[in-house]
Amino acid sequence: MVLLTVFVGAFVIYIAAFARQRPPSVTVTQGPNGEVTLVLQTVGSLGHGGHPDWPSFLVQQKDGSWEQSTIFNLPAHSTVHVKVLEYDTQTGLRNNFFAQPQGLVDNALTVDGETVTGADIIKTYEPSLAAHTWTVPGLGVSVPFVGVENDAPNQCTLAPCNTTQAHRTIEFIIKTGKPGHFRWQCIVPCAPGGFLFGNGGPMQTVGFMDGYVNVA
Amino acid sequence: MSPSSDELIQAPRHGRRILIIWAVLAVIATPLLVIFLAPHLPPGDATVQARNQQVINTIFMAMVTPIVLAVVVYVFYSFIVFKDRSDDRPDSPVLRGDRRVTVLWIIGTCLIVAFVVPYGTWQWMGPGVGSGSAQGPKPIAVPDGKILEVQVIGQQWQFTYRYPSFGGIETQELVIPENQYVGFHVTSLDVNHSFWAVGLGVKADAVNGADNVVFAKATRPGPFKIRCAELCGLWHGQMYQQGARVVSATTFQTWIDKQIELNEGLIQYLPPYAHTYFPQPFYRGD
Repeated sequence: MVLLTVFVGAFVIYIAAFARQRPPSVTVTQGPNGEVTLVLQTVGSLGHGGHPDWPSFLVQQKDGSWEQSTIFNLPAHSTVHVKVLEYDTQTGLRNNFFAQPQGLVDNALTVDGETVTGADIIKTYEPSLAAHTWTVPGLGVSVPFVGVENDAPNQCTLAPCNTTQAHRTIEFIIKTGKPGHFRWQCIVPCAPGGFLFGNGGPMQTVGFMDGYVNVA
Repeated sequence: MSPSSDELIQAPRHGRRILIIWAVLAVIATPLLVIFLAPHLPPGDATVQARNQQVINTIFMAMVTPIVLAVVVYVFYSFIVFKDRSDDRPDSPVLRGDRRVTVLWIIGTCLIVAFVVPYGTWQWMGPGVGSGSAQGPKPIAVPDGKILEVQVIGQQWQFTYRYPSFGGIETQELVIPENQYVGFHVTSLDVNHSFWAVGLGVKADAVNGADNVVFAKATRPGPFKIRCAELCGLWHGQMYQQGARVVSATTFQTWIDKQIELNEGLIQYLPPYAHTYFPQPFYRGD
């Protein structure tokens, strides 16, 4: 009876711990001049951990190191400069509607130093070039990330990647409003081939291609 | 202890009493519920289809109220009146079926079902106004008159909308004009979803490769909510949409003009309008 109780107790604790599993949240604080900068990198495969072949997001911390996380804490009513180092290759969007960025300040997207605005964005960076998106419905934000050419040399296979490897640099500005807890997702079907419609695995897991933006 | 002959003679009075209590309660409760509760029954009356469903719900409520009261009155009457308060606990008298009650019950329920099924189906199908429930690609009940076609595209985890009458533009929010029949063509780009516009009285499964058609005609401007009613993955619970609204014909024209302008760069990259789409790319790097 005692053994059974211990077994059941351990099982319940294991299930509870599993259910509560979350990647760490990373707080982005304001700089000395009040600016807020969120620096991310996306990788085609982590290269380590329980799912080495899954694509993921990493976020840069204050000391410059990279943390695999998809939970970002941003200050409310702020202008946030987002910089994405995109190391993954191109998959393309299933619904090209999401190739048109939404919710960006001045409707402007900068890719590798070149700024494009409005309807020119989709003409310059076609839907088939997207590697991922950062889509936050609650904030009205959706941004496609143009991927590295599929045959580009020196591609990154082990995260965190570094800027000597093939990558695209994507920059844009968003504004946070009132405090809230918003979910985000990548809408490109970027899961490896074994998953239904490319939307399983990393596309269904917080810490890889899904996460939260906590505005406080 | 067996009931005495006097008690057996008195027994039919219980039935009469139950009948009187039930009749009084039913006569009071049924109109009260119809007057005060029925206007608040889902899905409301924002569309012709929703109003039809509300009428069905009202009639069913009016029919079921006396039945529920009959059961409740009988049970409580039995609890109170037939409670054995004596100290000794003899065997109860043998229970025998009452053929009259059984026959009455069977005939009564058959008559109710014989009315409910054809009437409910007739109202639900919405003769002349179309149905708010999904009818597949070739609907049987189609509204009379001009229909504005709006495509609902489900994808993990967001609905988007295409307006083929306006160049096939795609939007993230659903806006429809009042006093105009709208035919929603519901499909999916991946797994199964379900488009449920609660206030419109509209619900249709969104299935990849299928075109599921429902109709609605809004009778007044106002917002309505959209939810996914099919468990579809991680963010299923977040797949709801606020901000969908019914607007006047003039406001709709202004809104759609703005969407056409916003879609200027996008439209050439959208696939030609079709009732279903193959999910391409199928997976990473496909």
